[in-house]
Amino acid sequence: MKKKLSLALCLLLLCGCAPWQLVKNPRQWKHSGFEATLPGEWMKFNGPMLFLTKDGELLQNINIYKYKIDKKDALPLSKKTFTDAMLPQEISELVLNEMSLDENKLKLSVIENSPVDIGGKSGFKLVYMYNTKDSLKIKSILYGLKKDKFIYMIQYLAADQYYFDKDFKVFNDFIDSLKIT
Amino acid sequence: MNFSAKIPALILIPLVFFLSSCETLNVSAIGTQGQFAKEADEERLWKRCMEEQEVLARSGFIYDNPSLNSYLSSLVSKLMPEDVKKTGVNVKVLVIKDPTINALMYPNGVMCVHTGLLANAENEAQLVSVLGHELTHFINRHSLKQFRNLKNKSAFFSTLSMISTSLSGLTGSPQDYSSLGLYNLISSVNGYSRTQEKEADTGGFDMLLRNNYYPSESVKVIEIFQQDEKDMKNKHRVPYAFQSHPSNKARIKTLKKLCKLHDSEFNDKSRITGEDSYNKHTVDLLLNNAAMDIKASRFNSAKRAVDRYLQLCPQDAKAYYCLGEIFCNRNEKDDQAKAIEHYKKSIDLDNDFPFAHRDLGLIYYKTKLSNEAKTEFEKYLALVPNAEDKKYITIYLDELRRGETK
Repeated sequence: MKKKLSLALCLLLLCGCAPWQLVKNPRQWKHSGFEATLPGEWMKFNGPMLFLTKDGELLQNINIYKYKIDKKDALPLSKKTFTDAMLPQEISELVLNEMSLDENKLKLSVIENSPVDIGGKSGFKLVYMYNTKDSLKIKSILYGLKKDKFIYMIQYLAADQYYFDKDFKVFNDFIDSLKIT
Repeated sequence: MNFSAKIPALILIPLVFFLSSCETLNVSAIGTQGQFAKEADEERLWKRCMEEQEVLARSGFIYDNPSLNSYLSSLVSKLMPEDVKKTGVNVKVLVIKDPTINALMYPNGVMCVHTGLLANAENEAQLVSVLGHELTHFINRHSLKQFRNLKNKSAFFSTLSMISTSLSGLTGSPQDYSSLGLYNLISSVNGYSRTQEKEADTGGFDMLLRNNYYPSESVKVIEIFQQDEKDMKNKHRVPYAFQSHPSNKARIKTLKKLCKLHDSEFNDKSRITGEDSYNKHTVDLLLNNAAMDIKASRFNSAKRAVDRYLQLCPQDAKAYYCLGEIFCNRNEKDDQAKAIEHYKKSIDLDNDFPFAHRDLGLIYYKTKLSNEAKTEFEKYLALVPNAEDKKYITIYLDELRRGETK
């Protein structure tokens, strides 16, 4: 009886843990005070705060991740720590600093680093490009903001050739729909 | 067949396979047998290195300074034994933008010297000691030996695995062998063996002596490595069993022993440290490397480089700005006051150096010294009207001006 019960539980767990889920139609998403409309026909990964892709995570993705403020060595390469007193400009520089130390981001170039208002909060916007070791050119837009005890990063990252432009509007719509409480 | 007869056969067959797959580690050093001809596996190793170097060339990590490159090439050429030169084998030196104190040698004769080494070594003799160490790895073909050693070990452990699988029914614990195999394999993958490192230290020391440098400098450069290790507070330290180099302490001991053997040459006044020519060729990279050190939170190393720069170029606004950056980024007790002091000193030396104004302004802005912040930001934007961070500074200025009118 015990064996059967554990088996049933395992099955239930496995069914509920499908790593990827198709977002058939645009739908509302809520998490940690963030609210946005997810694009239809994109795949959502069940794991981090938000990770979406249409054609494959290496070709394009929209993701949101967070760093805890005052967590020592939160940025592992530069061994720097985000603090509460930091201005958005200083946070953006730490992020760029960390990227510049990443050996997997070759020829990193910053196209834009500017202050923005995102979802009613002041933050920063970075637009940058780099090459992977396999010479694939990657372009990314990254918004960052401070909220409660965390630094949140909202990122669109895609292969520069074809994919970045193709889904740029989807990301913009996602940002426009974003509300932060 | 009963079990007692089965065991030797089970061991013997894989063992024959293993022995037939073994490659010799008896490789002669370049230049000892006249013309140098690469062996087949060595040819593949060199080709693989070239592919990696092509990626490196495209990476943007190469520090391109023709004068420094030609200086380093001339040092390497001076160190190369005549027998090696006669074979026509060349060594190319690349300077890599990396603040860590290191140099490495590819099996195909491409030597990578980190800017961190050039910024932290104090003179030519110290640098030569490291270059000589790396050259010895190349001349003695350590990579090829290590590559073959690794292949043989893989073959050995595959064989062991075959034996242990066959014996699993008998011993009951074949997995013990596998974990042992993994441990040894990882230790050997990680660079050269300790014996080879010792050989390279001795080789480097000989080159130092032959070229008339002070032998004691070989010890001093390892002491710099040791200090750097302490500065980094052993963060992410590799456990000793996995380190390819012997500990710095052990290396210092070996080199001190060698120095003792050549005691009479210590007071030889004809010996040199080569400080002047070294400073002349490396001074330009000191502040660049310090900026990289700051990015990687290597504040002590950054400070050492700026201090060295200030000895060579006192009264330099950029150097004082760099000191300000070190304290501002380190942000320990009293560091903010030190940062302000150095930014001010930088401005005293050159009032038109924009970044000291900006960073001083940021400290004032965050500490609510509104008037001072406004003055510094305005000066910054006057000096760099199209600054990359103009939008940020404008927001701060607008806020400060709004505060004024309230």
